[in-house]
Amino acid sequence: MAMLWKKFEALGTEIIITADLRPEQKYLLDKAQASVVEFEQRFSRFIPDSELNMLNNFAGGEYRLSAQFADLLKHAQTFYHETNGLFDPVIIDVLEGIGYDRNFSDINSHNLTKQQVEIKWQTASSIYEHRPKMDELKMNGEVALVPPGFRLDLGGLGKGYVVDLIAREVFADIKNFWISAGGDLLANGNDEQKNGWQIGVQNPLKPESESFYINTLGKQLGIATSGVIKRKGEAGGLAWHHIIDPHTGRPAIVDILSVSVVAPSAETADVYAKTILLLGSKAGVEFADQHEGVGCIIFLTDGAPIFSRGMVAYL
Amino acid sequence: MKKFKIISLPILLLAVVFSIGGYYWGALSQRSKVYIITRNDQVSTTTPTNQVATTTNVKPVTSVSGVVAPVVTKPAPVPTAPSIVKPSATKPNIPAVNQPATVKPTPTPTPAPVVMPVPVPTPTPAPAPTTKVS
Repeated sequence: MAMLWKKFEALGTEIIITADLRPEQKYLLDKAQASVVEFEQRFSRFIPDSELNMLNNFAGGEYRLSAQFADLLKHAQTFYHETNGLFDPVIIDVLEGIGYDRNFSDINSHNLTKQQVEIKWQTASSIYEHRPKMDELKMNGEVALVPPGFRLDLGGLGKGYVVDLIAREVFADIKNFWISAGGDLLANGNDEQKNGWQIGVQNPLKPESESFYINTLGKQLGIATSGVIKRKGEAGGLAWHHIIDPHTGRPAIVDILSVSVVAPSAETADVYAKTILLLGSKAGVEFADQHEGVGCIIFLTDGAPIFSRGMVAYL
Repeated sequence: MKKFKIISLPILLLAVVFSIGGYYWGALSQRSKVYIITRNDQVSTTTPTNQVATTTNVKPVTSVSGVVAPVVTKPAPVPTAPSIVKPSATKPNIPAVNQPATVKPTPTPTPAPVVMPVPVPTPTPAPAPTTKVS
């Protein structure tokens, strides 16, 4: 057995897969990569003929989904209800309105005036306000009743979902591994020294360094971080980032730079990190404490860290 | 007595020989006739051209019988077999007509293989897991 790993670009970010494998199991890394690539082809909003875009372009009515797409939509609805709508996959109009209308690495300056940007944001917020909400999508197994004008983006949970998918379907028989999709990861078992994995937590003020280490204690843990320090831009003198407040339809204004969350799955950690960010530091810590097996580290805008109770055990 | 007999026999033979020799000497010294004695005791007379042969004074002569010496046949010399030079087992390298002789390079002796230690590639350590804003 040896710790083998693979790194590649997908889902608009860096994917790293590390696992304790025998030489003849090395193919599992390729299989995991293939799973990520396939997932991107099917559910990216930046690929015109993806399953997601076929649904987004659907005029409304009964729509037969693939089994995985149906599973994804059920997860999205569950988190939508659980977070009281803070996690909202139908935020796509606002994302496009603020300029996040293509893969982030392809975004350039739009050369717009401040007034033009304001009008664009207002329009996007208005469209979002009148869009069908997530709970208006009715699911019956793999058949969905799609309301007219329904559109969604799965970026809020997609990376966590695919990481859990690999752990479940590719590494089901592997004890020690971790999978990271741009920093949203799932760790299982131990490292080469037979200790729990030590997961560095990025310092938002010094993104190239870590402030803390989370010890997974040999458990399967999902760990994700969300913040306003990346996937951001500036248009017409107005700064924007990709965390949209569903109450305003605009980039969220919060007292947090970044939030790192531990949870039973990567998907849960991914969604809860965005939720806590939108809630703000005080309500965010309370939210974490209300969920068993969930903990968070919050870096305030001045860089000061605060911890929820559920995080202490892992530090 | 015995001693006498042994000595007298050769003397007797010598006397016979000398007496016959003397007879022939006398006949030859006459130079008129030649007598040839045959084994059949017949005498043929050859008369020289200007002489008339007469048989009046000729006496028959008996030739002496003796042991005919055996002809000793020498064995034919065994010819000495010439030394046979065997051709060389290696055929001379004669080039075919219109074909240049192929000069084979002298094979360079293969040096004994040196077993070099195979460097074990050091695996690049896996990156440390970090959760970060993506």
